Amino acid sequence: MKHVVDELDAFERGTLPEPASRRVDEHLRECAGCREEARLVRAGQQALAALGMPPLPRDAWEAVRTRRPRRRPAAARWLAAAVVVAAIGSAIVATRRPADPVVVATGRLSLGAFGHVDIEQGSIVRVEAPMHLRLERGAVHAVVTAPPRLFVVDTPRARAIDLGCSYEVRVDENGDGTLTVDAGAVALERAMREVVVPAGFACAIDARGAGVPVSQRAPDALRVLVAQAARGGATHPELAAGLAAARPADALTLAHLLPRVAASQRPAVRAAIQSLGRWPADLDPADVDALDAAALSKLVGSLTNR
Amino acid sequence: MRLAVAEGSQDEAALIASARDGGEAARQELFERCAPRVHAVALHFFGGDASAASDVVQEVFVKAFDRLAGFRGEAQLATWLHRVTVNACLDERRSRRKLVALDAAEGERMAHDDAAERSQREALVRRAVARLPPKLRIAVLLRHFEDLSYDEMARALGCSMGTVASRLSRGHAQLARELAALQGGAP
Repeated sequence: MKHVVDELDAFERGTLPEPASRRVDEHLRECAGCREEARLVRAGQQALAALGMPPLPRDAWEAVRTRRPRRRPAAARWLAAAVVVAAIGSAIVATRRPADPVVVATGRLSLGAFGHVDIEQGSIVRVEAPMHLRLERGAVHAVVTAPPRLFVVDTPRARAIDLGCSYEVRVDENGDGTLTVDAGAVALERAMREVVVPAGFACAIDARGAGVPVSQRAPDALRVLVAQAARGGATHPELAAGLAAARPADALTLAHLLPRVAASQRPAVRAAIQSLGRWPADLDPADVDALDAAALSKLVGSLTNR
Repeated sequence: MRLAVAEGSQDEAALIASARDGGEAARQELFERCAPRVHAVALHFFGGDASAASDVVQEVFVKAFDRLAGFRGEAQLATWLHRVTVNACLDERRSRRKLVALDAAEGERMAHDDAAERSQREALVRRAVARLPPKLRIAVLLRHFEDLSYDEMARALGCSMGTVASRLSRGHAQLARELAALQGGAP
């Protein structure tokens, strides 16, 4: 029996044409669920009659004619954020000067229906715009249900772009930091280069932007390999130990390592990814060894399910 | 947006043409015909927030007058105004809701607006409407204040007529449930 819920608005208004109207009518005689839904639709339609046409504000035309801005000034907007923080957590709100608001807070910043951000004690957070924070120092933990790419956290080194998830961004006194993703995924972006960090991974953020995403359960030997590559080069024993310890879940880490190891070491890293069974069927290994941008993008995309 | 012509006034095409040429009187007349409904949709979309509604009205008509050169007839302008109204409401909501939970803000506004409420019933319905999910809310309000056909609504909302039917049916049923919840009874 096909229910008729989606047709009830037109049916109750009497605008549903035949034969659909007869079909809905017959269905409602047999289906108590749809009959109850029809009663609610009718009640909702009738309730709206109480909403009259509100008077237009007297200055409405003048505001349009002169294009006089009526939006609240930016300072008022960030202040609203600060007030929310103050209301929910034990916050200290400090202002350098009116045009340069800084919130030094501990507590929870509400994103309304889009989630919330917990601010670690001693952190310095600027509210650049309602869905745009700048973390100068300290840490924030965000739980966001907004559409992807709506909520961003800038750090001195890179921008963390929410892709629908739960994550922590931490920044030290030098501006370096770490992104740790609990659920979903976050894109770290700097200078048009974007690294997607999926759930269960952490990624260093330094002067070059996003580092290499590393699984939170990655073996120590692989962590050493990543750290040495970031410092300018891993030795062959470090490379061999890291690759030998890698698990299938570490293939994404190895893919991001490819541009960071010496050209002579690259085939070994690529072969390790292949041996972990995570190699896309139609990807030419030679393209990856040559650091072809499209090939690398395809490899990384397949490993992050994007 | 019904650009119904008041008796004795210019017809729509001439009015739009005059407004396009920069005629302020024509622009004001267009505004006075269309703005009350845009304002009503926005005001109820934001649960009675006059500031948000004013922002939407201004954004819609400043954009409309900026782009009048591209309009050739009444239907096109009306369709476009509906579409811009929907987008302005949803955009304004995004920029406002991030920081203030709707329920809290709604309660605050209702407390301040009590004197202005035309009736207790209207206040109750307004609160129930404000509780609807945004896509259902804007559909229900467009239908109520603009009296659009499904086809016109589909163009305004950027979706299929089937989706319009679904949103209106579910929106009205949900409205009844919200009303019942506010009154503490069964729907």
